[in-house]
Amino acid sequence: MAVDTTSTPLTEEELAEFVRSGSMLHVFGNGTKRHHGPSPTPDVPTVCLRKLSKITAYEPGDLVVTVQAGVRLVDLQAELAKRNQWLPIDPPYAEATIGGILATNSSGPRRYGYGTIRDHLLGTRSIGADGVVTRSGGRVVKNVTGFDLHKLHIGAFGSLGIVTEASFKLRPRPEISAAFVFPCASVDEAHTLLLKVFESKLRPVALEALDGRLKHIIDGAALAIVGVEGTRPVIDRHYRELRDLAPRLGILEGERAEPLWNALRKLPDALRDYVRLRIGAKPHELKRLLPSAPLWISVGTGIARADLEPAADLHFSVRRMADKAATLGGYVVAESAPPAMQNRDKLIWTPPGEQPLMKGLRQLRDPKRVLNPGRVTL
Amino acid sequence: MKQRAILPVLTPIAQQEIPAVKGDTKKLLEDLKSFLPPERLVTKPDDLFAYECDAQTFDRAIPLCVTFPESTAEVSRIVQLCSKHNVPFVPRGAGTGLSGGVVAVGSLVVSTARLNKILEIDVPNRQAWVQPGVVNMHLSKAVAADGLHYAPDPSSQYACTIGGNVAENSGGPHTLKYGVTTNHILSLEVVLPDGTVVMMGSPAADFPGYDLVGVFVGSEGTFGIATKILVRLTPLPEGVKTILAIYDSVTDACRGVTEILGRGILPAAIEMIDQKTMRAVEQYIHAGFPDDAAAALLVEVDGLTDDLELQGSAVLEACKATKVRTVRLAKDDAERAKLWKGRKQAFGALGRLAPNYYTHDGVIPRTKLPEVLEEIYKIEKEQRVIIANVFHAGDGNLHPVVLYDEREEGVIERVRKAGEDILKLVCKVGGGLSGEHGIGIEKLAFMRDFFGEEDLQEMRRIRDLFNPRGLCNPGKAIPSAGRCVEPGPGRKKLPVGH
Repeated sequence: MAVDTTSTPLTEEELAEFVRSGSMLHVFGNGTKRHHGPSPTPDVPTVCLRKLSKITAYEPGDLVVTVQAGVRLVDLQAELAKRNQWLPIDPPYAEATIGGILATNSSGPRRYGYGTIRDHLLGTRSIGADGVVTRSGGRVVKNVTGFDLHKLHIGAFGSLGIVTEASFKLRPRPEISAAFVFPCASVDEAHTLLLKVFESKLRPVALEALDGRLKHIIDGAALAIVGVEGTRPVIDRHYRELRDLAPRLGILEGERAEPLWNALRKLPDALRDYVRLRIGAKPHELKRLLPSAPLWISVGTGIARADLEPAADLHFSVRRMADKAATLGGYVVAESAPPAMQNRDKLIWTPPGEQPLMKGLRQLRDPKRVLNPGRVTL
Repeated sequence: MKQRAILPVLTPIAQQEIPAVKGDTKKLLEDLKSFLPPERLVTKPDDLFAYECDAQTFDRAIPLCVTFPESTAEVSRIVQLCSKHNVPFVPRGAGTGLSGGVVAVGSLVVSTARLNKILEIDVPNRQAWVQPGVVNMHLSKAVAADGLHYAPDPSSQYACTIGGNVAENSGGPHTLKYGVTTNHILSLEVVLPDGTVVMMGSPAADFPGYDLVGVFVGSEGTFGIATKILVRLTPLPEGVKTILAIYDSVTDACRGVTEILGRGILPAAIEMIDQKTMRAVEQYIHAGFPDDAAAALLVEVDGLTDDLELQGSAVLEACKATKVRTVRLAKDDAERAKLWKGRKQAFGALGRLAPNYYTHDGVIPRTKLPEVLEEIYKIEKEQRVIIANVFHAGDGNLHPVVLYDEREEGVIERVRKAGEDILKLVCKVGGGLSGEHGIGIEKLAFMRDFFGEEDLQEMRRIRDLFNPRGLCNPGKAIPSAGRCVEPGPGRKKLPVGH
């Protein structure tokens, strides 16, 4: 079957047939993260998985769900909420699909408390570059049957196969979700404060330091946010101890916290004309890697985002930062960029190292580079 | 439990899958002697008997030699020599595995026993670099004073090593809440089968690129040898409560599990122990289980002390909503420790009932527990064997233990049939072949019941990328293409040194 413009297959088999045609393909879900990673090779036919949108199996008693790749996370969560369960991830973009979240290893503030989508993924069905459908893992919560090949798709930008279906383990929804907010004089002050919470006996699910440039969330200079989820006694305990740490404490609970969580999920788009860097290090070492003006720091995870103006010589300063980060055991990479800057040769999208094996994987899985060409630099 | 064999024994599947050594073993030994002192190069047949198998004793074979490297460089050198002389090698930790993954038929064993140092503990960032031979429990003990622990806690944690845990992607009772090994490994230094040393993963979160750590963990020692492991350390819970629920039927106990989970409670662990196991445990270590009940659930909740009371009473309520005989909180730490000791040493206790055991560890959807357990007891009757059940009920991870005496005429066939029937059942309800013990040799023949040939071929292709010449632990984890033989325990004895 010839692929000319955007195709929207209705079944896995139809998609496999497209792949078997041998043409290069760009695969996407709702396209929310197309500005993430290197730009796709131009003039390549696109395939949209939006219509692979079934929840294939859901047995609440097992706390396991199987969904097609095109299911939007927001729709899945709504379905799970009916049984008081959820997939405990909160990556950016309300429209994001499960397949897209897997392909970009996308996560949000609650990553600190619950981990990434990798920690909940039980198995996949996927289509290889040869159009063959294979399975890995299963639908049970613990499984060492066969190698964990499904993990290879996480963060791979669809370059090692196209995930068509994925199974996840679920959690009961927390009784109360609360956000404690502390206005701070600077993002650095917020960072320091949250590191104290990180060291304490408290068990928050999110520790976010935000700079005042994020005007849709903050009206002051900076904000520290502590997310806490659980029962009333747990929320109260956090309130007591956080108040001792910082008296100017605000608390948002339940529905009142929702606008803040939603605003955090829109964060990535706040300054979209900029090149966004992701900076990662051990939580207590992150400060040494940070540029002067980080925008947003996930303190417990050790990840910061900084937005840089897309100047022509930007890649030089990014490279300098990346080299420094590498010597300190961390990394600096470009995460997203405006289309004009998405040139994959200039910005660093993947740090060096581990590359022979990674290149070997890519070569093995997609020797002709037909799957999402350009989207990875391997 | 482990029977000392005079002659090595290999099951038909092992004979088929594990290739004969074709390389120059004599020259390999000569080269090894040039840099390994005699105490770190075991070659005498009498000494090699200790390395004939792991805790799964159907397959026993004598390796060519056992090496004890003390550094990454030595591991790399040994592996390079194996490559040069075309002799397969098998990484080995404490040998507590339950699937025959370390059986080395005339090949070289790389023991991690002397790679047993905790290299660096980073308390503020909750990470530690360890060598693969570090005993799981030793790591948790080393960081306990700092309020941390290494969360995956296999029942063999007093002996098993972190390297072995990485190879098997080990679980344990508390993985219900905390996840399995793969959720706690951040980075690895690996000696690839050609001797190259590579790093995978990073101490920093969300390191870009493919998830090499994810695919290495659980590769059963067929992708290379991890020589340094960066683990995540988890804060110790501020408080813990353990609940003991006693049931007059196993089915009702299983309903207890689904009731607890169905109410939105996420305990740290839910373990089920049946009557045979409780009796064995009581004779062995007097843990405090009643010996007249059909089953017990050991449930643990943990976290901040503030809501332990709430969590504990929620579990009590859930159990009371089922046909429970009695349900109560462990009264103190001493009782709690005793109950857990009973659970963790259950396999050892069962070993006192019969000279041999055969256990599977299939995983099933949790809602299927009641019906599957009933079927397992039917299989026990049909095959005239004794099956004890002690398992991670919260995860749906079964451990049916078939107890037998191999000297009994015809018993092996019945034990094998019971195992097959149980796995057919697991497959039928949409389960997985192994939850944590690994495929090794023992479960190879069942892999085709759970995966199609194309799935298996993809796994082989990825393995061959890491291990192109197939010298690293050959014949394990994935059945080779186009072969199909009888699974389970066999009887054929092979001459020493085969």
